[in-house]
Formats: sequence, C-alpha cells, structure tokens
Amino acid sequence: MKRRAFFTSFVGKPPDEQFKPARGSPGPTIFTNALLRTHENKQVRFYDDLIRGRHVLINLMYADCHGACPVVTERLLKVYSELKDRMGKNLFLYSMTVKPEDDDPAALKNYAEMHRAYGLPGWTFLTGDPYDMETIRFNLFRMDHIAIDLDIYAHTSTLKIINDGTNRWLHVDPMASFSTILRKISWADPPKSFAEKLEANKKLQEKINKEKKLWGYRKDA
Amino acid sequence: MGEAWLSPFVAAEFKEGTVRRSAMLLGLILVCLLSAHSAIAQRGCELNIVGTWSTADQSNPILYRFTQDGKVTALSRSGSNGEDFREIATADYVLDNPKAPKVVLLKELADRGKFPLGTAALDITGYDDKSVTVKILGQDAVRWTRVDPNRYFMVLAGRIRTFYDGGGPSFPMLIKTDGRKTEIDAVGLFPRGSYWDFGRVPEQVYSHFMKETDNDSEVMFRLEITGVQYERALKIVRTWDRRAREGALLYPDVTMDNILLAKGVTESLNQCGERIKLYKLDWSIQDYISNSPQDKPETTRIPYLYFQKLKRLNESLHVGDEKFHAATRAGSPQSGH
Repeated sequence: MKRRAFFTSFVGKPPDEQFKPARGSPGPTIFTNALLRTHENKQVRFYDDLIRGRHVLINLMYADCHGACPVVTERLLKVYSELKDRMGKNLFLYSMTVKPEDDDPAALKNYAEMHRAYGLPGWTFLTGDPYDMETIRFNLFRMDHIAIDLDIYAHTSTLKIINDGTNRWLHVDPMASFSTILRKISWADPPKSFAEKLEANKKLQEKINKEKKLWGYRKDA
Repeated sequence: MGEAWLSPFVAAEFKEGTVRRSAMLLGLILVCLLSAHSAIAQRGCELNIVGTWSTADQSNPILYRFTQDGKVTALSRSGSNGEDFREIATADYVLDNPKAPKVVLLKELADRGKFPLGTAALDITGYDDKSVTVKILGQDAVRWTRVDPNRYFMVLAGRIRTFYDGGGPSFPMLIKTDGRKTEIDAVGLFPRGSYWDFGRVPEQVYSHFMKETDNDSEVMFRLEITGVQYERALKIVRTWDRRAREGALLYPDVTMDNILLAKGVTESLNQCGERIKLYKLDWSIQDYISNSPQDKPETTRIPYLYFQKLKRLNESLHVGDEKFHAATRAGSPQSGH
C-alpha cells in the first residue's frame, strides 16, 4: 500500500525517509512554499511537495510561446525518454509558466498534450499566483542583471538542475548536446557508494581497452 | 534585356515569376507581422468598464455608471444649476471579455425605466486611460470620457549625497485627492540610521518632497496622471510594499529592488499609449545612466539619475507647487496605509 501510494502520487507529499533534504539546503526560504497548481489542477506546495530532498529539473515556459519553449519542450521530451526509468521516482521535471496571468491549469494541460508530455510520470507543469511565480523565478533563475532578469522570454531557454538532497545547483542550456545535458544532470546525483564507483571504473576501463585495441588510442577522451 | 541588371540565376527565376511570388509572400508576411505588432502593443492595456462615463454631448450629457455587479445606470442632468444628476434607468450589462472587452451587451430591465440605449450591443472600437469609443449598429461612434471626482499625481523623488556611497533616498509617491482628503502611498529606498532600508517610506522623508526644491542634489518630478494610471501604479507600489514586509524581495540587494520599482512604476504610465517620454534603463550600451564610461554610478544613485532624466525629457508635464496645492487645497496629507 505504501509503495503504491509512493508510485502513484508523484507530486504528493513524499515519505521523509525517501526524500531527505541536505543539511545545507536553503529550504523554503529560497524556494518558497508557495501554493501552486499543477496542469491537473492539483494544489501543491512548492518546497514541501515538489522540491524537498528531491533531484529536480526546472524549466520556464508559457503556453502561448512560439519561440524557444516548443523547441525546448521537444528537447526535454528526449531527455525525459532517455531518463524515463528514473522519472517520477528519483528525478522530477517541472515546467513553470512565466505568464501565470494567462496560463491556468487547463492551458498548461493543453500545452502538455500538444507536446506529448501529458501523463508522463514525474513531469509536472505548474502555475500559480503571479506574485509567487515571480518570486520563484527570481530566486532560482536570477542573473543579477536587471534587463536580463526582467526579460521573461530569455528565461525560457534555461534548465535548472537542483538536488535538494545533496544541495547541488547547476544549470544547462537545453539546446546543448544530450551528452552535456545528461552529464550535468548526473553531476547532481547523490554520491555513489564505493562498490558502485568500482563497478563504474571497471566498465570505463573495459571501454578504454576496447578503444585502444580498435584505434590505437583512447577515442572518447 | 530588362533584367540585365539581375544575375542570370535571378533573371531566370524572375521570368518564371518566382521572385514576384516571393515578393508578394514577403509583403504578406510583413503585413501579418505589423498587425501582430500592433496587437501586441495593445495587449498590456486593459479596460475596466466599472466607473462613471460621460457622453461627449455637452448640451445634454448623459452619465453611464457601470457597477461591478453587472448593472449600468443612466443619469441625466437636472436642477437649475445643471450640476445635479437624476437616475433615468438601469440595465444589465455583460462583457465578452472582462479584461479587454470588445462588446458590451445591454439588456433593459422591465421595471427600471427606459434605458437610453435600449437593449443593444455596444462595440468598443478603442480605448485609452481616459476614454472609450463605443458604437451601436447603424449609429456613429461616440466617445465616452471617464468621470472621476478625484485628481491623481505621481511624484518621482530622489536625493543624492545622503548615504556613505553618495546615493540617497529615492521613491515614487502616489497621491490621490478630492480637494478635501489626500491619500499618499510612497514606497522605496529611504534612510534608516546611517544605512538604508526599502519599504513604505516614513512621512518625515516623503513630506520633504511635497514641494519643489532648488537643491541640485535633489530631484522632484510631479506629474498629473489619470485614475487608471494611478490604479496600475498603486498595484505595483503595493506589491513591492508586500514584498518588503514578507521578505520576498526579488534581489538580495534592496537598491536593485528599488530600481525595479522605479522602472515598473514609470513604465506602467505608458501601458495604454505614450503618455510620457521614457528613458530606456536597461543596462545596454546605449544606457549611459547605468553604463556611464566616466562615472559608473552606485545602484543607490541610479533612480535619482533616472528621475532627473525623465524630468528633463518631460519638463512640460511637471506640475508646479501652485497648481498642485490648488488641487489639494493645501490640506494636510493623510497617509494611504
């Protein structure tokens, strides 16, 4: 029952033992605990329900966008399919609107459906009070340059990678190569155990040996 | 021969009409872009129909009072002095889009008098901060102007050489007066001890800027605004006040928040068309206030320089003390919080 509840309610309150924030996590002070609405019109608390102790990817968009957003969403769809085994379990993707006045949950649902992102576990589209959405946008995506920070369209081509469980923050251009995006996402993964590191090293060495045998040098250095 | 000036490739294409087709297509795209641009330019401008509107006919003006609950009352002039109005009739109204209506549907109420416009559909063909142009099928378009007993002012106040870094207090002040009672809302950067703070400005700080000054370290630009501009600016000012109270400011450095406030309030004046000449404070290479090669100003000084620039650009809009005090009847100001 417990397991079912966990897997089915991916935006529900997570069990504390599964998603534990890092000791240095800024918590709701920076993330805010604003009440937001998902594309399925569910109310969620931004920090408690979506961020707390989790590894998340956050991008900004708006439903009526004909510029970067559709392209970025397509890219994210590919990133999602690459990481689909983890999505909704230990990795979550949030697409937040920069036009909350225009984008109600229904508009976000339409957008998600249009881009084949509707119903994918772990991918949530979010809207809310413009006051809260602006606070979150500045707290997470601020570049300390007034002209850039006020340009909501400029933010639609940034992907924030945050792991509240390890308190790691990174960002990547969603138009970067897939290997770059995936590598950056992995940088925020929780530290591997010693056995996992040994196994990864063993695999890497096998790959290097194979390349050396084939090409005479390490090709993917 | 006529196409000799064209390259052989283009000339061949021209013969086939490809270039002509491309030119037509390009023209069509340009028209679409221009119409899209004008649609976008109007997007931020909202019309709040609630309030009292007067028809342009000065000999027999009719007032239409729209209320929030979907009722509109027609009033006509009565009495010998011509300043009293009596209720003629009341009708129901429905808007097709509450934020940017294009059609107002009126429905007469059986027991509430004969409504001058009857049961009709009013097409809203244009609007700005002061007026709305409406048209009934088969009649000429008429302009209604908003009737408001209050007068509204915005004061952009700033001073330098107060803080240790050469900056000083700077804030926008919004004033609403009906000649007897005056409400003032001032939010921004103000001195607190030897440092500065951001939030609702204390009365002893803003009251200094209620009158003009010759001091070259101070700027005071006062302009009269419409009720709609006032409401828009007040919303911004109150949102920043809320941010300051709730610790939800957008920058950790409050002097940056103050710049955002100054920009937001002044730019809101032009949301429904150019009412003042604005300066583009955007940290670009053309923005010599924030990017001055000689003197890179501290963020505490930028709003002062910005307000000074706006005053220079709009000198004719500045409301002097005499005119301002006549409007407020020099009554003691009452804080709006």
